[in-house]
Amino acid sequence: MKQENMPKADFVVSILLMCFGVWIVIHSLQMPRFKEVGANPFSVPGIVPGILGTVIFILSLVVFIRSLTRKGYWLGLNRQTLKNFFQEISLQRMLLTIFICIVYGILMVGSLNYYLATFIFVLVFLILFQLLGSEDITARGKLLMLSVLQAVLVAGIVGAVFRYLFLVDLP
Amino acid sequence: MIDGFLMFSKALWGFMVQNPVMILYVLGATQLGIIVGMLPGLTATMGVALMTTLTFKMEPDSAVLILVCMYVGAIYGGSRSAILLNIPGTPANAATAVDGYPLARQGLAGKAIGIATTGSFLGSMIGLLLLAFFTPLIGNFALKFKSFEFFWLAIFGIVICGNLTAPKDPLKGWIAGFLGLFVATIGMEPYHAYQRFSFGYMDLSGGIHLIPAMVGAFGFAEIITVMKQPKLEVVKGKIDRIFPRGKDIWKYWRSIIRSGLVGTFIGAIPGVGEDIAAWTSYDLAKNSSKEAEKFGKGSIEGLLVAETGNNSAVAGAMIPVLSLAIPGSAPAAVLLAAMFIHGVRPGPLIMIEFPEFVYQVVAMVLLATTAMFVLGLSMVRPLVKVLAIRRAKLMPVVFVLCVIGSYAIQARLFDIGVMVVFGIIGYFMREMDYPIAPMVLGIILGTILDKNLVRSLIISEGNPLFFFQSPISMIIASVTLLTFFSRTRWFRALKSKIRDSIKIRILRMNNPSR
Repeated sequence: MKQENMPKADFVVSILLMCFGVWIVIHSLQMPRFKEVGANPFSVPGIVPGILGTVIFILSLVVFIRSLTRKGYWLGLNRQTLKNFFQEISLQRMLLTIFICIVYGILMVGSLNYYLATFIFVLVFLILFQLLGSEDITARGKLLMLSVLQAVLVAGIVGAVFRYLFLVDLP
Repeated sequence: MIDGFLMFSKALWGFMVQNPVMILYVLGATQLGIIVGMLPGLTATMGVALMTTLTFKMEPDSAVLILVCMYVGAIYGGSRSAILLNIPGTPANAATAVDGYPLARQGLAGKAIGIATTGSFLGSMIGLLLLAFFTPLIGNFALKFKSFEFFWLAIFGIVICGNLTAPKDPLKGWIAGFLGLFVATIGMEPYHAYQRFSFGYMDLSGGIHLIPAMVGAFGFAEIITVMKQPKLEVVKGKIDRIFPRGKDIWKYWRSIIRSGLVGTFIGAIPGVGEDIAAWTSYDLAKNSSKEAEKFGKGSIEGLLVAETGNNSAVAGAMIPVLSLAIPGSAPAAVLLAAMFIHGVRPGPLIMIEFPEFVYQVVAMVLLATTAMFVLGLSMVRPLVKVLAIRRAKLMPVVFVLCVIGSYAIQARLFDIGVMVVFGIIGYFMREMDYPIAPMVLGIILGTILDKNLVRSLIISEGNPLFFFQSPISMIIASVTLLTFFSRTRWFRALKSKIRDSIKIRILRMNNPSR
């Protein structure tokens, strides 16, 4: 992130963190006190998270005040800036990476055969980030073959090492 | 002492001459440890734990030797990924990445690895000497730590780590650290078995496991950061010289010895481990260095002390394991469990029941350290080639390892979800200049803080003066508070005011007529 945008980011994040700190404190206060079993008031479950929530709130408040002095509240959001933001290639690549990693890690592993899921993930990842950027058709063919080979090797070797060397029951 | 030396010599002779197969075990296990440590997603704890299952049927001395080699190798191996990819292989190597990665980006990856290997070797050797000769002394000192001292130690870890990883804005480092401490409170609490912040989910009631959180925060977040860049930068690792120059090392001999001593001392404190050892060594070196401005930008001294600190802590972590049956770190905890499995009973009675075993462990650490040094320097060139691999080819492999590494330790799909969530959080934290290392350290220290804060409050009945009562807690508290306040504007203003007034007084004393 550009340093000139940092006060804006600090402004937004500090509000979120302050809310989070308050949420922790409220939840901590709602936790049982175990008075009926004669528990020591300093051993109640909410005491440590309550203190941590308070510290997080105070530290975030300092960031918030500092962002106000740096005019971080002036977010300057309008349709054009939002449009430009979403058209940034780096943002699209970041979202794509998160998306395919979530699909593999959360959805495919555990539902599909591990070797197959890993093969598909590696191949799709390589195709999306390598092959689509290449314009030379001959190079594309070679890249595709190498990608398939890499996907087979990664799925096979990683799966076999964990299954047969480390005796892990694959997901 | 002479008896100890004789037992050590006998153990070394036994490993090297009487049973040469042991040498193969040492080389194989150390090499595997280096590979496990350097691969993002695989940690020393996981490596030692997985190796425990593989060595279950072996003789006790062979099994423990393999586990020690795996431990030493993995803590060192983590420096490889920290230098080459900016992903610490283990939490202990987070401080290594601060200067190791900038050196790699300057085309000095080979030199950085050579320096890290030498630092690890020297750190281990210093730790080894202290393990052999000062076990009773350090063990007795660690025994003096009570709940107040442990509480302050946890806070000290967060403050110092926040200070170091966010030099521009330590406030963000401290917030990250306290968020990590909060994450550690999720799940069943130790006093009333109440499930905090689990919202009825069985998986959450067991808490957030460190390894998937760390793998996500360091590994997955790095993958997102790298893949976000349209032109994937390939860092070219020119390897002009692998073996570090003697003068490069000799120049920092004071820092090396200090880091070795500090690392071993911190490693010997139960539960604290290699990560705090590395950060503390790094911070001390930075504060006393003549080249403090180079720290964080590729400082040789910074890299050297970080590795000296974490590897000396490995030997240090074994001191309470052997003398008190209390682990000094997470991998040491697994090692302790493995010793019990193999019929060795570490603890206060070990010097009476199994005195040879203590010196056998010292011999094991020496063999592992030597193997690490030889393998570490001879494997540099092939490993630096990792830098030449296009990131788009490397990153899916890293993610596959992150997924299986998170899953393997407990065989829970939930941990993969934890890894992914922490990866996304870690990425946005990086974007907003919130360092990840204090958060991970917070997760490690959270359990120590939770137990000891409650215990301290019960003992003191809420009286804050009790937290400063013992000399040890007073020292740790003073250093912590000084570190904390030294970054505030008013403290710096006060400091410069005091400095100016002292200067004026000195000038007046030297020239009374003015």
